[in-house]
Amino acid sequence: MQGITTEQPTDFQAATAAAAAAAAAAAAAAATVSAMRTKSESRDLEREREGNSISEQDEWSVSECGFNDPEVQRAMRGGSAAEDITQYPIHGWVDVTQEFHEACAELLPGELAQDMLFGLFEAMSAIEIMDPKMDVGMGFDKFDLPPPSFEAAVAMGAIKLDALEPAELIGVFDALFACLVSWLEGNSMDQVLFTCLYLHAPSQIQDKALRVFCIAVRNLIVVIKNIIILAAVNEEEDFQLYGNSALLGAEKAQPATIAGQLKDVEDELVRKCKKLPPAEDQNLMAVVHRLRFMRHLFQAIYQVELMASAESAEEAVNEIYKNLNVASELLPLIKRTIERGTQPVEGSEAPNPMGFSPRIHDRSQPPTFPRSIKIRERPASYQFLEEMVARFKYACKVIRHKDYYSALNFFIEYSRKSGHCILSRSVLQNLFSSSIRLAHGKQSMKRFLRHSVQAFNSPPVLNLKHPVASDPKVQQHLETFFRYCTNMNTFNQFIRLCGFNRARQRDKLAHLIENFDPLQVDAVRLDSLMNQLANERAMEGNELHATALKHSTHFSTWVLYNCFRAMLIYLMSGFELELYAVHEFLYIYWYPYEFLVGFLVSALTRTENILLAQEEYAEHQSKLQVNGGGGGAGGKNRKAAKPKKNKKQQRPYRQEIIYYHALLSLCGGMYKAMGALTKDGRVRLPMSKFDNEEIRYNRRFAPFVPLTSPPPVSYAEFKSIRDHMMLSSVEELYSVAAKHFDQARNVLESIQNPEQEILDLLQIARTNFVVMNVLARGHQKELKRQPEFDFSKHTYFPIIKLK
Amino acid sequence: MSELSISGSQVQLQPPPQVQPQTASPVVEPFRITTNAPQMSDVNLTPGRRKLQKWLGRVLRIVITDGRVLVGFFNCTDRDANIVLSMCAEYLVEGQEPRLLGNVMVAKKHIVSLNIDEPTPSSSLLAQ
Repeated sequence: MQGITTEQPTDFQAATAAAAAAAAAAAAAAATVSAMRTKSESRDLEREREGNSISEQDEWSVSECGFNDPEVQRAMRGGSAAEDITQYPIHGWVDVTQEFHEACAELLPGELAQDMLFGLFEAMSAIEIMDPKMDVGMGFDKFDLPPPSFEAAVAMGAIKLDALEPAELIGVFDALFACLVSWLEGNSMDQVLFTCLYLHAPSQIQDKALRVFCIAVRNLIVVIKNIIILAAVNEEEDFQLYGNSALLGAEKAQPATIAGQLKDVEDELVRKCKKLPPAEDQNLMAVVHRLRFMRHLFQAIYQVELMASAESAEEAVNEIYKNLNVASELLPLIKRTIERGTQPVEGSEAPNPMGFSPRIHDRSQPPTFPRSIKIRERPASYQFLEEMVARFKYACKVIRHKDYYSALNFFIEYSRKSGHCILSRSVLQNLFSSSIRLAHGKQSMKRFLRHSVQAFNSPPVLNLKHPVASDPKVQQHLETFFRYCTNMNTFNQFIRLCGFNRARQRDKLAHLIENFDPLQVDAVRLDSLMNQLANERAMEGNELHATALKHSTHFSTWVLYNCFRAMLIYLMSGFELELYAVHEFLYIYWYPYEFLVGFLVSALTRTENILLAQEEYAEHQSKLQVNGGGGGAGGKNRKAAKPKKNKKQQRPYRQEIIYYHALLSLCGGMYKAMGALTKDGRVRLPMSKFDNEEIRYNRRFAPFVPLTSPPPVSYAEFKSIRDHMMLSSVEELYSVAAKHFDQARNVLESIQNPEQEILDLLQIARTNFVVMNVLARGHQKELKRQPEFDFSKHTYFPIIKLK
Repeated sequence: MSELSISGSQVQLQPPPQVQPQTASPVVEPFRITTNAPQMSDVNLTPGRRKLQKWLGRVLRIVITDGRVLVGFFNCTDRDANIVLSMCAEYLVEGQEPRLLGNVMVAKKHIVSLNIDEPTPSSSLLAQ
């Protein structure tokens, strides 16, 4: 281990990191086997093993000592190898080329000769030598010169440090933006950004514009990294967090000074511009635009990082929004002047002819790295930045969503639209909550949730104006419940989860759903405590308090509603991720049709009814108060405020209920359609020998099993329901499915000012209605071909296409 | 890895009898693996298999077509002599600083020569 680290030059840290980690594992493993083992001893052991290889004494003893666990063995073996591989050969190389090939020829096709510890893991993680996508060493020649470093390039005169032409500046800037975009798309920082030699030592650049821009890029890297680390919604496939930190460490980051520096250079260049004849200032202005864009983009992103310490979230977001606006106005100007810069040479890997050394870090990358790098084209990069700025602007709107219900909706929506960009997702997380205990700047999660339940179904106990809210017992129960909610972190987790990429969300939803169970139990307990209190207060003769507490299902409804949503998203995301086989569609659509969507509708309807009943009661109360003269202090206030609110609040969930009604009919239609197609023999079923539907079913619904409410539905139950459905004739089933789609169409058509999603669903419902009718009439009766399921219009529902 | 049939899909269910080791059990094994695991030691292996078994886990040096030298523990091979090495070091120039690659797979068509680290009579004398 030591041998490796000391021999390698320091700037190869990244390369040695992997080796060091392996060596550390080796050290740990070695410690378990024998406390201390010197190098010479280990070599002796090695030799002994060689000597005994036929009788395999050594190996026997390993397994006899109880180290049968392959992991332990791998660590032991791998460990000694990490120490020794560079010291081989111990004995000397013996050419076996011919012998080896002859021996291999004895093997049968498909037969393997493999080491005892070799398994699928080793096979899958192996790099294919000479595969250009995996093998970075390919194409290196021992006669090749090493790629030039910054110092070398300066010495050779390959890069200019002073008096760059505007065209050269534009070229470098555009290339750097392209590198930045490529980095955000998941490439290693070393292989994209730090191929730019200017970034290695910006302080040595004399050209002010270039120097400041490079410093800004370096700071931007630091700030972006911080934002992504803080948001923690990145996965290895999204983003390469780690790069060669030694390169960044060389010059200290001072993000606070960047805007000022950029501004200075801009002003200087603008003054210079004014002295030039109008025809010649175009290129220089293009440079200024890029610097200005950088300044505003930097400011916006930097302020996102500072959100955690911002005094007022609103002000901070406003400031960010302003910067983003300027940045997005500059982008069209920049895009128009791309061709004014120096362009990359055809066939070269460098994004710009000057200043880049494309393969400089290739050999210092850990071997398991994704390493086939293609830096984005310049116009595409600016396109990306334009969309990213638009996404940031959209993310700023999160500030308006003050309660959990609407915030969650916003996050779900945002994920659907911007799920692919790691920085956009991280920015939204940072804008919303800087720490897991906080929402919207400084608001504590507990207060946020309290406010959210109130906004959702307004339980009187949460209405501070209501006298019952000051009941100490009520307060105590509420406090306990909300503390539990924040400690369990489930609600918060749901929002955070929407920040992950779409594929990971599904994974995490499975765990989230499980966590809803204890919350449900607690919410039900709280509700029943409230009812119990209602009885107590009624006995005491406190009618007002008793009514406010009675028939309370507020909290359990709220928790259940959120749980159902998580379940629905989980189930349906399988379509988006193309996880389900066609023959599985039947039960996937069956579950929401039979249960889930119905539950959602009833939870929302119940909430509306509660709201309505409360309002009626409040009206009734206030009338009594007006007539009777007496009443609480809050009475008058409420009377003044309520009538207006009533109108708006009457059916706050109407839109959503209608949407779920449509979803219900669509699920029903798909379920019946799949039933009909299966019975008709148009769905390819797996051979029963290789398939067990019960196992499939149980796997698909596994995350729902831990929940008490809704209770899990066993495969046997599903089977009997399906068998019952299948009793009908194929034609009947087709027409029932058609009826469902028709119903969905009717519901969807009733929606005013429909969004694109509704229009898409409408088209799906219409088309499938027609298809089902055609099939019911016996179209292509003899042709038992599986129809095509086209999910391009909507991720949840396909258009069924007959080929 | 397509040539290395991990999945066993390329396995002939009924191998031609002349290739079968003479003393192997009469039952046709659907998936044969030669390994150096002590539990698996089988005295009836063909000479080639026995050689491979002996080499498994030892250090193998492969020179490939572009001149690079790969040194690593010999982990796996198949009929086509596709080779998997573990803890592999890649040398552009032998004796200079290598790059550690971990597991690598070398297809037969890229192999120029193979060397195993093995005591020859002379070197084992030196070692003593």
